[in-house]
Amino acid sequence: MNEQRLGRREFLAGSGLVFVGVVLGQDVTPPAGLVRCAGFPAYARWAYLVDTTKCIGCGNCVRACRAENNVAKKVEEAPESASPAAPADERSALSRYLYTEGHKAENSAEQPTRFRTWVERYVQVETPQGIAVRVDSPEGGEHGYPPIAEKVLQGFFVPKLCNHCAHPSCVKVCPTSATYTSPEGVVLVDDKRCVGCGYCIQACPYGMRHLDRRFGRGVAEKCTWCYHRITKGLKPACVAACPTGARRFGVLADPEDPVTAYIRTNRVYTIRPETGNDPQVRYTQLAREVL
Amino acid sequence: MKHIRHLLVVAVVGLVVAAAAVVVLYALVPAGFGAHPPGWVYRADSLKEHADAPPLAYAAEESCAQKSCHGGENAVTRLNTTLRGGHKDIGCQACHGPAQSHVASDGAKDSPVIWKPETRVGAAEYDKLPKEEQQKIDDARAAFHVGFCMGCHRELAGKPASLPQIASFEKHRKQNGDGSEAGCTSCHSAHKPAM
Amino acid sequence: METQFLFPNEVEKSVVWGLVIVLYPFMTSSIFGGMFVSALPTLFGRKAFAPVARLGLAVGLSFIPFVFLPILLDLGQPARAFNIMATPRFSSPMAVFGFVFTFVAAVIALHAWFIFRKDLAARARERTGIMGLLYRILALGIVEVTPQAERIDHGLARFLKIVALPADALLTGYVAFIFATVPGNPGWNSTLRPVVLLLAGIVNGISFTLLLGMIFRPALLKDETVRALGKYLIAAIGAVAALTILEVVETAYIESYSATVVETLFASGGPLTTMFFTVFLGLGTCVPLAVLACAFALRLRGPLFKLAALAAGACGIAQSFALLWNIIIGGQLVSKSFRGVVAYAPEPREIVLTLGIAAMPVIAFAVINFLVPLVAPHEEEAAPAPQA
Repeated sequence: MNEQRLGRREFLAGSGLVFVGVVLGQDVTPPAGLVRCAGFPAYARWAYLVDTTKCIGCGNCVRACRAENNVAKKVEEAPESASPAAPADERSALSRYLYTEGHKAENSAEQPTRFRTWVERYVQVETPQGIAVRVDSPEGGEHGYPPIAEKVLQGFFVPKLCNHCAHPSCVKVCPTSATYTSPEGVVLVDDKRCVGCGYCIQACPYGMRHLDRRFGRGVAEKCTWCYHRITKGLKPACVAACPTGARRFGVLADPEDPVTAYIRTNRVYTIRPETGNDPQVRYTQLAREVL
Repeated sequence: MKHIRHLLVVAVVGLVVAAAAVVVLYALVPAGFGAHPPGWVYRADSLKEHADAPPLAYAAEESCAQKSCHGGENAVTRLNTTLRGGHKDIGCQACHGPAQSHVASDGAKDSPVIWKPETRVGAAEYDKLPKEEQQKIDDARAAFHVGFCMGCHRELAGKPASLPQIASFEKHRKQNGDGSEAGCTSCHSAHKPAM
Repeated sequence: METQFLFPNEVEKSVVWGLVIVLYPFMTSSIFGGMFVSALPTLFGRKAFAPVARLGLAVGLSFIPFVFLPILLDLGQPARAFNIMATPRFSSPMAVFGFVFTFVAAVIALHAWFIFRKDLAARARERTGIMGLLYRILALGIVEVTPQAERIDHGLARFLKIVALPADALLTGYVAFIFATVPGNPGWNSTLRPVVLLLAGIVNGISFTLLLGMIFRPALLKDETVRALGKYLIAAIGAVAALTILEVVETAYIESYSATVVETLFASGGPLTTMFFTVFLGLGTCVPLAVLACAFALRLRGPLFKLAALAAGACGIAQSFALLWNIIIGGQLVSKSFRGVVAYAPEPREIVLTLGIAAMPVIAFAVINFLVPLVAPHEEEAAPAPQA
């Protein structure tokens, strides 16, 4: 049994199951391909794994998310008439190149400020005062990162997305039951019930949620792990667009699945587990600086 | 009786208001709310809405290499779908962009491309163009490819050492080429990037 | 490269709940304060407060209809507001607030009705025309009040006050709970929140009783009443300040992983420096305490003492406002990344909205003062003698 995945209560319950299973000589695999989340009345069907050693900070995932989910760019954004399937990256690759070459973003008014996913860069630099950590994610990493003038010791990128927590504080505080956990363990927002109070935005320790002002005066909006894709057997857009395999997605109930197999046989980490939210996005090689 | 008449009235008023509130609130509960066990309650249709929308932008990974498309020998447009070298594990859409509209229309709709629209000219069309127009397109493509490839391969603090990184394209070109070539793809194939 | 880092979603709008929302706990706690003042003579036997019992009740009453306004106007979808009660999630303090508030508002309204019924009925009999009709509606059509009914009303009013005061304390505590239970915000996580908010409510209640009473019913504020109010005001202002300072010192001492960034809020030039040191500690705490202390020490009498109490009351309101600003806005100034703080300045729209909402209870108080006599406190003091 994978102790990392199971909370104490479930682990104990699981041990009981194993005991019963051994006594009765029966298979103890959960029925219908569903795996129980830790202490939560829902089932995690999918696994998301982020390999921080592989991320190169290209920003493909952020752009892909915008293209796939039509994520608003600004707080007050007019409804978009364009097809959501149109590539969202209006800025040419050339200007992206110029930006990474050290030029300023050409039009700061165009800078997007709403993200379902983004990529943070952590760089350890040597300063006269000692070793310091610099963190940045300009425009969510969508258009590259500026060079660093200080002496760099090491650095890495950390893709961030909704953790689809097993004990989501956003779900707990939602007064209208508009945000909820699906039976598969995906945290979703019902945009027809949401009153836009912003309580879930306050409650999320990861800063994942934002108010999408395109729906009237605003409803909460967040990463769905591309629920419309994963329910069709496809991978989330950010995973499909990732060139290095830093973002991986699998079926948690299938032990043969490469991601599940990795999670079962390697030590994986979650961001800020001390919040008690039991985040479900697993990270490899997560540094303590990552909050 | 006349001493407590006001109590009865206030009780009736209170009950009427409470009943009205219950009726109104009950009417506001959406159909299928809480129908989904277990545990948390939500509007049942919301799950379906999430599963149905929005329309896909990125196609299934397997779509590109189908036999009738870019995969087999008899494919309509046979392209190199076999990647080698460092780009071996990269999905098509990671570079070529979201392809669902292309796939859904059986290739009729514009294919997702990695070059800018103004440089997107069909091969037949390209051949008909005068020399200097072709040169312009070549230059634009080359410039675009530089920007595109450098999006990943530009040297930058934070990138893993295993990734080939180039501090300056100009320098790299002078060191490795004769200086006359315009872009990355002049020397490297994007599908098998080793020289 | 910038030394501070905000999560990308925080860059443009970090403070989700702005100035308007600061009014929300301010108004809720003011209801409790008003009820507290009105309960002092009736439930706690503090006879010096008897003249202002109805004033306090009117203060509480005038805030009730507008408590929901700040939230409602801040919602992204105000038309869906009743979803909160139609499909509530009871693990959400905000959802429970809707029900607790409805209950408390109903109890206080009923309590007030029993207290004012005799006057409403009397005026319904006297007046004609529109006003007569209005009084008839307010009296629910019953214009005769027999002495026995009056005794029953008195008993019920007393009972409802016993229910309303703790229920209102629960409500105010619950509002504090809305903020204190957010796990992502260390600036809000504190067990002291409900206690501090209740004490701030008492400050508000006394201050508004003084201010509104001085404007609308100066005759009610007798010397001994104002002195008693002043004493309570000293205690409440002191307690709020003590608990808040305790909290800040604790944060600084424990040095949890979020303490460093929280400290930058209070550092010189930080976004909370003015609101905390100048407004909260200076204007809101030291000034009223000093003014009242001087007034008592110099044995000021009459208008001079009233003036001092009035000034202290105004400062007390400033203290409550600064306290809630520091909690609600201050809590949001720290990025969830714990690597940066943001500044917040309310937009003109927010300021206008806030002033507009803040004016509502004053207007409501004027209306209540116009409709019912706040001068007749006798039935609050003792039940009318049973008629043989």
